[in-house]
Amino acid sequence: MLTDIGILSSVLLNSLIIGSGYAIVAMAFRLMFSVSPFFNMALGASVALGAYLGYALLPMFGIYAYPLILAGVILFTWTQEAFIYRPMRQFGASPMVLLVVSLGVYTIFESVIHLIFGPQYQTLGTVAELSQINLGFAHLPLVQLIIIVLGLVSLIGIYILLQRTFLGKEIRAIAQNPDLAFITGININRVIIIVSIVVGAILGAYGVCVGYDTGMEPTMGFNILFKGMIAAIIGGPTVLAAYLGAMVLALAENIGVWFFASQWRDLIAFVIFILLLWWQPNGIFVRTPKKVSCEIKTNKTKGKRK
Amino acid sequence: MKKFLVSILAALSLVACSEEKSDKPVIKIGVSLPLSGNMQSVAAASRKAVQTAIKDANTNPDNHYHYEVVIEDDAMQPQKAQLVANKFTTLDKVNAFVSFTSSQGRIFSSFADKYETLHFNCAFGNEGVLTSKYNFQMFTQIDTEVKALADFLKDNNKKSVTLLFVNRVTSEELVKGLEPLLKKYNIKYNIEYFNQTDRDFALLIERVKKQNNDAIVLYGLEPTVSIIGKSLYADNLIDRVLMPDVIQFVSDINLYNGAYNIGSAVATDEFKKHINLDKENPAFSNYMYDIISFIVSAYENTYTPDTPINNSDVADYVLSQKNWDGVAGKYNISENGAIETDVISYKIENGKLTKK
Repeated sequence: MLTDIGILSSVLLNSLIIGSGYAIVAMAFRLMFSVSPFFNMALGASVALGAYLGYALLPMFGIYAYPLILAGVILFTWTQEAFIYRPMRQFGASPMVLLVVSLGVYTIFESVIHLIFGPQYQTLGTVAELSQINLGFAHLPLVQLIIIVLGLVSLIGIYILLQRTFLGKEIRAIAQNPDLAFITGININRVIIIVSIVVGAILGAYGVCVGYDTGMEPTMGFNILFKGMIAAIIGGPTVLAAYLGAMVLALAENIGVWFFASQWRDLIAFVIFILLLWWQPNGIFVRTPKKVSCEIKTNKTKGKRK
Repeated sequence: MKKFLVSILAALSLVACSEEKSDKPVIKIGVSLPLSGNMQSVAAASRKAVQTAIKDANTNPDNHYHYEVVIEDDAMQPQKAQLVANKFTTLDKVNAFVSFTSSQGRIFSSFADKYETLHFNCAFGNEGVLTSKYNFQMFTQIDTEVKALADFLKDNNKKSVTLLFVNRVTSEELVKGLEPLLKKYNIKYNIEYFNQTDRDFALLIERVKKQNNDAIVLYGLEPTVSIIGKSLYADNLIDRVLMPDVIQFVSDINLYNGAYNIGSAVATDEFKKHINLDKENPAFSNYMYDIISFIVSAYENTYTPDTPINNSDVADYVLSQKNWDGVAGKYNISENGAIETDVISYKIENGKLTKK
């Protein structure tokens, strides 16, 4: 039972770690979706690219590799936006078409990674090399602490970007009404490019963490993106809602794993996903506007018509 | 541009000229491997092993046949296996085919029965695979491995065990075999399943710690076994770990220092050099090499000049054999088509495997 403090702490800590991972992807997905509203499956590739660039560059450049990794992932997301999605949008491609194209980009990326690095599982550090922090009830690897911090930093950073900067105003304007934003003089393409750079940086940094924490394989991107998307949808349309949605999903999964079994993790995730959306279709952390009564007072109407 | 085109044409003509022309009759072997998807890391070495075995067979001047191989990707998905088996039998018209893992083997078995094609499956779960005289399985058999595991636990005085298994059909077969033996030996057990797609095992390991059993039998595939291995290592539980064949998959063997692996023979360094393995996981590549070599030996031994190839005779020949020597060891051949090596126990010490 969860009345045991040790177990409760383990469940909460693990939910925070897993939830932070989901949240980073969920927030990046939300931010990108707000200006370019389609399910961009290639965002998963950005995480994988971060991990694999780490694998290729860290042995060569040591600590100096980190800016190169981020630059590489940013270049990857920017290239996609500038040379694939933007021209297609200009030719009137629908979100469904862009989704399929992004799936194609992801598949090509996965195959290229397979060709260059091989299909085998790799890791950025052996367990003996990874530092651990003793919390008393559990050992927390340093990289997991970094994931938690990265989640919080991304949340605060994106919040400040959206609420306190002119670019944030532009992003919000595009998210609300892209046509009106265009008429008022906002350069939508420029904003999307900047957002894709920010998203690339966040996902690239997370990719390196994943490379240290659980390791990497060519197919890793899809699974990571999948849970992030679910978290974003459960939470709602804001970045804070996406973060909280990720935490709810992780907590529910972990409680489920503790009470039932690890094999039912995905089942639990999807049952929660459906139940929560059934209860709050727009996300659980969204203020639903009060229902406007549309009842027709039949007697009065009837009377008037008579 | 012209220079580029000329050099490409020259390269292509060189490749075409270098292809061996043989007057010998041809034996076609189809090999289905999970070259993409979650199991792709396991298949890379097997592909090299198959290609080397075919090359070795074709360079042997005493052989009567010329051997050709068609390698296809089944991505470890039953639907794709169905398509590959269909292609092998109807389009490529192979004489024999090889499948990997028992779940895929079951699909190929039905094609082997229907088209009277020789089928060799590389796996240890045999339910539904050995359905006719055309189906064979070359590995250590699940019953033998299960018995060896249970005996190991009993002999080492383990009173309780956690069975930490990936959620697959083979795991269920393992549990089905282990349960009666554990009950017989009076060993208490807990079963924990996990998914191959999971990447977080912290709470699962927490549960295992809470059970505090004397031993942990871990069965899974990469990358899950390495991620679980990290947690077990961090919690100092590795010396309780016992693995049926798992060491064949892991990328960092040092993670399992102190653990035991009980099962099939692990590829030797000499063999890895022979098939030119670099960073690839050697997982079962020695068995895949042996399967191709055994198929070659069966066709060579049933060769009759100017007589068409008859798979029924080849299958009868295989079943009439008692044992065969391969790179993975000596194989015992049973009447039901199980061709198996003995179970070997290894202890992992300082990143090396020591036979026990």
